[in-house]
Parts: sequence; C-alpha cells; structure tokens
Amino acid sequence: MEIKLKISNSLLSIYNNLEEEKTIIIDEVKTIGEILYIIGVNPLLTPIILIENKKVTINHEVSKNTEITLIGPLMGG
Amino acid sequence: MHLKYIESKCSGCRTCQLACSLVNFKVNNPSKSALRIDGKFPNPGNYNVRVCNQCGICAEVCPVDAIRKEGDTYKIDKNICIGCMACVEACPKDVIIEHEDYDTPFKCVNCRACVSICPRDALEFVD
Amino acid sequence: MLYGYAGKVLRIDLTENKITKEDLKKELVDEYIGGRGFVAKTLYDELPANIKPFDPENIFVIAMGPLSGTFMPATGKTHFGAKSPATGGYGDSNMGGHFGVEMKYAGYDMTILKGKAETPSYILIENDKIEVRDAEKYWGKGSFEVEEELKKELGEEYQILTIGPAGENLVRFSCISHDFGRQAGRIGIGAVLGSKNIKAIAVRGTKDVPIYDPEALYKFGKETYKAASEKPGFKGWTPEGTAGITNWCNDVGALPTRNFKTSHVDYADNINGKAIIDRIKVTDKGCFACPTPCGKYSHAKTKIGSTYVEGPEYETIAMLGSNCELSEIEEIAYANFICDELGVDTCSAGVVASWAIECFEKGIFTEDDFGMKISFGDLESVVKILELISKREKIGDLLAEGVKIASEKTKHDTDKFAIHVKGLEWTGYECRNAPGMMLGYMTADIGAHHGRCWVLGNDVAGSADAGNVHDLISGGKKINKLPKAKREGVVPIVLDSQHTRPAFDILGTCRLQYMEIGLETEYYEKNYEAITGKKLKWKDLLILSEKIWNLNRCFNFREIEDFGRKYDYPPARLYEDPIPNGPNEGHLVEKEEIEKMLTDFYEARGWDSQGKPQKEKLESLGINL
Repeated sequence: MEIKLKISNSLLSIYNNLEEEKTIIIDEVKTIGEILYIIGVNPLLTPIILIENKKVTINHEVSKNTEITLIGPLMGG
Repeated sequence: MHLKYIESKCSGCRTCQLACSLVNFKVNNPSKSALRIDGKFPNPGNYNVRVCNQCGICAEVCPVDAIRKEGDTYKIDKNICIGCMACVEACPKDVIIEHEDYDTPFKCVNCRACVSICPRDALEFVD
Repeated sequence: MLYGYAGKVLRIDLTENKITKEDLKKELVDEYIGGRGFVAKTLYDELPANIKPFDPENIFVIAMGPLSGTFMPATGKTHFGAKSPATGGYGDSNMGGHFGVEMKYAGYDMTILKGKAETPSYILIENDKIEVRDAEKYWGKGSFEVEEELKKELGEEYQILTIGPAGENLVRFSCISHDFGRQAGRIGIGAVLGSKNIKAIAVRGTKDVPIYDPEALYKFGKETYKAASEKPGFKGWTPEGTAGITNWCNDVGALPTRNFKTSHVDYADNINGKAIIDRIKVTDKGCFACPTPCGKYSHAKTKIGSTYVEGPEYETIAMLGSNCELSEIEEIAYANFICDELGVDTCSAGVVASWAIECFEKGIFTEDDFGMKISFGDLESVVKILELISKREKIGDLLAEGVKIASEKTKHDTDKFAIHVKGLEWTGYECRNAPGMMLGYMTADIGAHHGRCWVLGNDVAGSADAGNVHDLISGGKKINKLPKAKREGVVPIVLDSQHTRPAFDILGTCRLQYMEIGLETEYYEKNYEAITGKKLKWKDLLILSEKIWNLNRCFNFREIEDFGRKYDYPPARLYEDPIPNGPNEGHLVEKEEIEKMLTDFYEARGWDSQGKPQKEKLESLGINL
C-alpha cells in the first residue's frame, strides 16, 4: 500500500531532515503509530494527525492507499 | 445569475470587501465595497452577508434611467447618474453604497472577486 | 508619501482636552516599521521616567503596522502599549478583531492618550472627527453590554473597544475587550484606560490606505490566500482552533493543574477542541482578513447560568479549566464569559484564582474572606472570586493587585506558589520538563508570557530523543512516562523564537498563518513590497526584533527599581517541587540548571551578569540611549 505523508512546517522545524512530502510502501496493515516509527517521527510530536481532513489517533489502522497529514506541536492562543 | 450568501458560513473576516474594493476601485478600503456583513452578537452569534441579487428595484426607481441591465447585471452609468441616491434608499438589501469620495453611488457588478476569494466558501454565484 | 501607512499620529491629552494630529515621521517608519516597533520606541522616548502605571502621565499607545488592514491573511491585529500595571516596566498587549484596522482607515497609524479625563468618558473617532464624550451612563457596566449599546447608538459599522468594571477599578490584570470576544489580555492594559477614566473607544474609518501597487497587492494577496488554503492546517487545524492542542498538552504533561501543582488530568476529552465543537460551538468567528478563524463563538449552559462567549481557546482551557480543575467545557466557557464581561485576563485570572483557592485550602484565607467556602473544581468558587476581584470587595481588593503583590502582602511563603515572573502571571504550559519554555517565560520582557517564546515542541522533542522511540510507541500504548528533556541547545532555540514572534506584531499581522498554518515568509515580503514600495528582507525584521528586545530590557532597567537578574526567575514551586503525577512525574528544572540557562542566555544576548545589555550590543543594534 502506498502511504503518502504530508508534513507540516511545525513538524519540519523539529525534524529538519524530513521533507514536506514523503511516500512509503507498506505490505501489511499498520497503525499510524507504527508508520510514524518507520519514518522516525515520535508520536509525541504530532498532536494532530489527519486523514481526509479528519483527526485520527495513533491507533488508527491503515489498510489501503492513504494520504496522512502530520501537524507538529502548535501554540495555544 | 447573481450572488448568494450561504447561511452560517461567514466568519466575519471581510476579505470579500477588500477584494471588491481592489478590483472595482483599485483601493484597499472595505467601505468601498458592494456587499455588507452584519454580525449578530451577542445573540444568536453568527453573521449575515447582504449581497446584490440583481432584483432591479434600483433601476425602477431611478428618475433618470441611469441603471440599466447588461446581461444579468444591473449597472449604474456614472455619466447619466445625477447622484440623487433614490436607488440607495430603495435597495431592499441596502447594498447600494454611498461614499463621501464619490458623487455617484455604486453597486455590485457581478465581477465575482468576492466569490473566488472567500476562504469560507460562504458566497456563490447562482441562477 | 508613506505607502502602507495612514500617515498620521493622533494625540489626545485628556487632562487638557487637547487633540492634535501630527504627520507620521519617516524616521520612525524607517527604523521601527510599525506596530510593536512603534510601541517600544514611543514608550522609551515619551514616558517620563519613573512615573507609576496609574499616574495620568502614563501613556496609552495604539499602533498598527504597514500590513494592517490590507489584502493578505490576517491583518487585523492591533498593538497596545503602556507602562505595565503588572510589572511597572515595559508593557504591551496584542488584540485581534477589527479595531486597529478601522483606526488606520480613519487615518491614524498610532494614537497616544495621556492625562486623565475629568469624568468617565469615551472617545469617538470618525475619520477626522475626534470627540471625548460623556460615558457616565456606561460606567460600571460589562464589556459586551457597553459594546452592544454603543453599536446601537452610533451604528453597527463602528468598531468598539471597552473596559469592564475591573478596568475601572484598576485591577492589575484587567483587559480590553472588543467585538464580542477579542481581548488585549495581558499586563493589565485595561486598567491603564480605567485610570484615565476612559470606558471605551469607538472608531469608524472610511479612507483608503495608500497602496504603492494595488494591482500587485491584489495579485500577491490572492496567491497568499491560495497558498494558505493548500496547507494541511487550513482544513485540519481551523475547526478546533487553539483548543486542538489540549489533548497533546495533557499527553506530554504540559497541562497546568491545581495551581501548577500537578500536570495531568483524566478529563481532557471533556475540555478539548472536540468538546467545543460537539457541545457548544455556534460559529467560527475570525479577525479581519483571516482565512483560518480561530475564534469559536459558543453557547454554553451550566447549572448556574447559560451564556454566549467567544471561546474558550487553549490558554483559557488550561488556566480557568485544568488549573482551577473545572472539568467540563461548559463551565470553562461560562467562567471565560465572566472574565470577558468583567474585563479581566483569563490567564492571570486563572493563576490568581487558583492561588487564592490554595491559600484557602491551607487555612491562610477563610470563608469570611470570600463570603463562601471556595474549592478547586467548583465553578461557583471561580465566579465568586472573579466578582470580588472586579469590585475589589473583601479579599478581592488584595487579589486585584495580582499574585505577586498579593503574595508579598500575605506572606506565609505564599510567594513560593504565586506563579508569575516580574509580576505577570504564568500562562498555559507546565514547564518543569520543558527547559526551553521555562527560559522563555523567565526572560520575556513583559513578564511570564508564552507569546514571547513558544518552544514546547522542541522541549518535547528533547525528551523524546532522550528516550527510546520504539519503547514509547510500541503496541500503540499511550505514552506513560517521559524522560527528562535535554538541556543542550536550549538557548539558541529560545532566541530564535523570541526574535521571530515580534515580526508579526511589527508588521500588523497575526502569527498564526506562519506558525500554525505554515505560510512562508516570502508571502509577507512580497505583499510588503506591493503595499509599501520597499523591499523587506525577513532577516532584517529579525534584527529589528532583537533591537526592540534590547530596548525593552533597557526600559525595564530604567523603570523597575533594582531591576536585574533576580527578576528573571520562576517561582519556587517550579524549581523546588518535582511534578507529582502524569507523564512528567518526578521531573524538575533544578535551580542550578536555571542559573546556568540564564547565564548562557545573557551571554548569548551580549548582556552582563545582571542581564543588562552591554554597550557593544546596543551600538551594534543602533540603539543610542
């Protein structure tokens, strides 16, 4: 399955070796948490994870081609 | 075709008014725009946007026939207009605008700059 | 012609009843650009030395920047400044909405009030017309109430700011309110207006702002809105706004609880952004020209009453919510409204209220002091405390002085858990495992404020790195314990944040589109050029930020008696008591580590061991005092 990851500026400012967009291939169902481990991102640093503009948790299972948006730590108002 | 406001989508930002003033007057000035935003606060706590729906009442009341329909759009001819502001009074949406910088009033000309800029998708152009 | 500027400075002497309009000086524009830059320079140059914040000689400044009111995302911010009632030093406060924009369209880039009106008054501005009008009938009324009445009297198109009864009674953390939900919250800015007998300012402006190239502005503005709409945060972040980080702050042990004693709650899902959307939100409400409205206008019902309020946003959720242990979103929204209507800052109010409740629990205050028993987790207690403060009744008179003065007067070691720096109360982030955030709070010019420096993500990354990533996320388990955050590399990260944030306050825009949404600096540069006809390099803006930072530090040395290193420390609780619960259990930033961070910070800034800017540093920034 093709997993396309879109990574926000707030996360890129912490992981400066990552790119804004990254695609990985997985061959079995994985949780978001496991996908984050694969790309080297700690879930502690992704307060907002979106699939089709809806918030999901790190336990969410990914079983098909999916675009995941990762938003890094953000300030309160 | 004419503008329409989609209920409850507006967040009161007024970007539409800025786009209107820049396109139609080449200035950055929301008071020179042809749509109006009413905040209903504190209760019920949302916005209403008044836009021209090209009803034509302005053209009916104009004493000098300065407002004419071109396609779907009623337009004020500045060269004929005598600045009596009868159209301003008559507009049921109160979106024909007087401004101290101009002798003649102005109204929506269906340029749709507002529709394309609205970041809330609160405006559409309909039949 | 100063493109991008209205071109005038409005001065109102309320004592002499004198109104003057001056041309905005090109030298000020060239050197300080606008907004926060104007405020810093004006306070330094024009405030008579060593006056007190409530003296008539204090000045109240309103300043906008060259991007204020223009066609690009989020240009509705207004910057206010005065000698701070909270700290006695440099004070400023930033507010969203539409007020400053209207001032600029009326023709004024900066407005300076000095003196004191003889009787309660409000100021009316309609383009060239300026009047100081009687406000006797409004005095004593709440912020929403007065704005509603003034809009009915003057017209809906007026933009209005008001103070509540708290500002009238010189509460040291009273705020300015505007547009049924926006505030200039910090430093007690509302009390400065109150001390001048000014209840409200109403403005209507219909002039063009001179734009160098309106067609280029239209083109680049459209590109900027489009770019913002394509960022992940546009659709993902906007619905919950700042409240969207509540669960994360709780999960990383950064949610303040019970007067910064504990750090984690089990009711986060009852007080987060989703709770707002599901239970109380009516409208997404935003500021001028903003495509990502962070305001959540809500309708909340509680057992003691129901209300409309814009909010609560994250800081209020943390400070009136978890810090006072209010565990339902409706209760926090209600307390938020009480703060807004009475006119007090929700952050400071949360610190003061929780300090008062802790003092009551320890037997230092009694039932008589409040007229009832007060406790954590009780909405009625919070409301009672807020009411007493705004009227300065019973213990409210002491609490109205802010937690620094209140604890100094109360003694009994209550200063150890009076959570403030320099007299300004802390805000929504537990820092005992976040050394960068801690340093940011300690060294902010206006006192403890997260807006000056936000590096919590880096701190958490520092603890994340120190631990084993796989252990922490294996099996999809919730993160239970966090390792101690790294100390290395904290100072440069803090400096970077402290220099980036002022850029937006200087230009007159919100920082959210850059920070939260991810809009690149080139958009600000391109729009600036279209508006002003001048080139802007982002790095030059950062140098100006550093300049202002140093100028304000000099101001504090001039104005705060005995100012120096000792003013840059956090309260004892934060370096003596390890966090007792949650993901950060056991952690602390020890006093020695605080000393080292401070010493490294001063060195990096070119300041001496007391934190005083050295001559070489000032000269390099072009500051001649």
